[in-house]
Amino acid sequence: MTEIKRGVLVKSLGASLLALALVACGNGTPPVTLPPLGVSALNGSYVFTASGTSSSDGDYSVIGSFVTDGKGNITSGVADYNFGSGVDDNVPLTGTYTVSTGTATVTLTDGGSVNDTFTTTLVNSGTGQVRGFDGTGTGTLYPQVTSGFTAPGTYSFSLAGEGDGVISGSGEFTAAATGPFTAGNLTFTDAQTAQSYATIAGYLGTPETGGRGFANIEGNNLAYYVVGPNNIQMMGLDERILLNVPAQKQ
Amino acid sequence: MKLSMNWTRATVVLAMMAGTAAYLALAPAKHMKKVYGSDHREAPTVDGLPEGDITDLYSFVDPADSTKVDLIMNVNPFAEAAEGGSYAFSPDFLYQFKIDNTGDAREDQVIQIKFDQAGQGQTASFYIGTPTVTGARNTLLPGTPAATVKFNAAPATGANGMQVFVGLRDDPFVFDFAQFTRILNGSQDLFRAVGSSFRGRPVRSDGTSGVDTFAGFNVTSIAVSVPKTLLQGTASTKINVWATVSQPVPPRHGQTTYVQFERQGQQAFSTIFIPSGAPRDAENFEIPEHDVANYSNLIPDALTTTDNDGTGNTIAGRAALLTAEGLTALPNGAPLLLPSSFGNTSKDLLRIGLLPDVQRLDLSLPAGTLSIGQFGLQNGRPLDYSTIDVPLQLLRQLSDVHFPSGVTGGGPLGSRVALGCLQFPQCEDRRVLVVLQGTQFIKPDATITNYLDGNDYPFLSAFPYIATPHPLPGAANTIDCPTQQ
Repeated sequence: MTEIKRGVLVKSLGASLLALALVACGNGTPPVTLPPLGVSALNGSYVFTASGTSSSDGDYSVIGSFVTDGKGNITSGVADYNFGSGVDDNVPLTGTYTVSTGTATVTLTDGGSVNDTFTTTLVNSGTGQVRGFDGTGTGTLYPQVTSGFTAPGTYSFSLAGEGDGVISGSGEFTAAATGPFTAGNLTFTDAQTAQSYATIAGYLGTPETGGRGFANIEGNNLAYYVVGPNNIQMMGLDERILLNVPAQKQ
Repeated sequence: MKLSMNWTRATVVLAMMAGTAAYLALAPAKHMKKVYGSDHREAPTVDGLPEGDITDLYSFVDPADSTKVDLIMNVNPFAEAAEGGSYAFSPDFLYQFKIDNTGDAREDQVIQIKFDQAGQGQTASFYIGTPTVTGARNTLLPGTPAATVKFNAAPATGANGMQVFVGLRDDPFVFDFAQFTRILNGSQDLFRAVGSSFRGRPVRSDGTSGVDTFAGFNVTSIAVSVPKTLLQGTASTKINVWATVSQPVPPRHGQTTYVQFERQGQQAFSTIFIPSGAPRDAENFEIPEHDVANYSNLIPDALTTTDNDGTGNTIAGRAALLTAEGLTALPNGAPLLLPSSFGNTSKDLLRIGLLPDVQRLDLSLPAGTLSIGQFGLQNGRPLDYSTIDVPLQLLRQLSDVHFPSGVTGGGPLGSRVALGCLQFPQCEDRRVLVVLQGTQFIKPDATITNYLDGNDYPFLSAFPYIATPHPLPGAANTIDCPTQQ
């Protein structure tokens, strides 16, 4: 989708919502709330994912979380970067953001003063598309709710990324209260090579600050971030393999 | 409990210790014997990265030039003289001295050292200035280096009269670490045997009983002497000093960032107070700003002039107990460092003295002024200072210990944070036994109270002061590697 078409769509959507709000008021049902237009529109905890190719850094994947104050500041955050040739994990973040005509521009600053910028269109559901991360990277911005999440349980997950070639797959695991998997399976393809595991080993640790935790699936280390009580996003922390692994608690 | 490191509070509380130990302030630092206190191979990550394993940090006013302050960082623990040509610094790592001159435990000035290649053909570049970023993730200061020097070359002079040295040196750390380990694991009870009740080393004919585990070994040293004015703040003559080693993470946007994996402030803090394994890694990854919040609960309460358990568990009571057990006189123990009338009223005294884990150095005090307890364990850390015996003696007189009922300190535990020793003499927390005698008896008994440590090699009389490396075993004037007992 081009930016022009997206802009038209956003405008059309805005007009539709406005019309819907007017109609709703007219028939006595609760009004539809439009996203606020200022920095207060981005207020709370968020998880973000992105991947792409940077002109200076090459292919990368990133996952993280941050907290905004509703005043244009990112007060805290943490992220994990995988560049395929190396990993920079547990990176503390601060930053700033602006909101203009429903689009937030977010600048993340790591502890070494390196900046990453991305934009996202604010929508009522709170889950938006990340655009232009580190240049051209794309991903997703999720509102984060860590309360109610506990690590033990059964999860279904999918795999996507780069290894020897394009990786895709899916599976399931059951994490015990102490973390280790008690059951699970995995099927994936990497560069035309398909593999299937009837059982898998691994663990899912307890999340720490920012809803960030560690996981391991069949020897692959991952950082995970709690998105909601039944939803986590994972990313591979092993060099040479870029893995994005969203998982849903059953 | 919320503690904060600020000069006013630390000075007020610890000045009492300084006052009572003032007679130590004139110890002859110029004789530069040896120091102990260290973190040799103390955590999993640095165990695998010896070129980044800080064994010790020293900071002191230059004995030959009172306008300068000297900082020394050692890595490569237990370097064998016979393999002396194989030790160097890593060209991948960023070595840093960090200096806080405002009292907030955040670096205001840094001295960064980078090496251009692996092996002893390497050249070190020294950068000094205000850091671009602070904390555990750092970047190299911009601009040209303030000084450069080749490995094992004579000290070089750079900008502002800065002197620098890098190379192989004798390990100046003195510690009976083998016996320390035996006491902790229960195979021995004390550094020196007492009758048949306490297992320990026997007294030798020369009046010693301890063995310096680090004698005969070398380290690689980074030493720098800089004008005080480059490090001192505008509001105070006191600085906090710590050393770090960092390694690069993948560059982003063309910028290389270094992430800290090792640090050291006061001697042996991690070895004594942080549980081994992953917690020590975590402490090495952390920054002093967070120490009070992270580690206060690992440090016992200090005894005060107030009886905290109804058994006479005061500083005076502890002194009386140690004396009654014969542990305050040679040959079974060392004389008390603090008088029994020592007037501490804060149970947080040890926490304030130990946290944040930095060396506190008052640049206005003459070289050789130890000021034990005034700012931390000592004023900076001179090379020749007894950096194990003094902490042992402070801890044995000040640490709250939960002894068996009927003994001073044997009352209800309640909310006390105390070391456990309910089955005395087989204390469940063996650190009680480690500190019981107050010294490790490496040097002759007649010199126990001079608070110099007795290194196996003489210190130099000029910069870089740290002793020359041990030559090949068997060479003239060598002592070889001593038999470890």
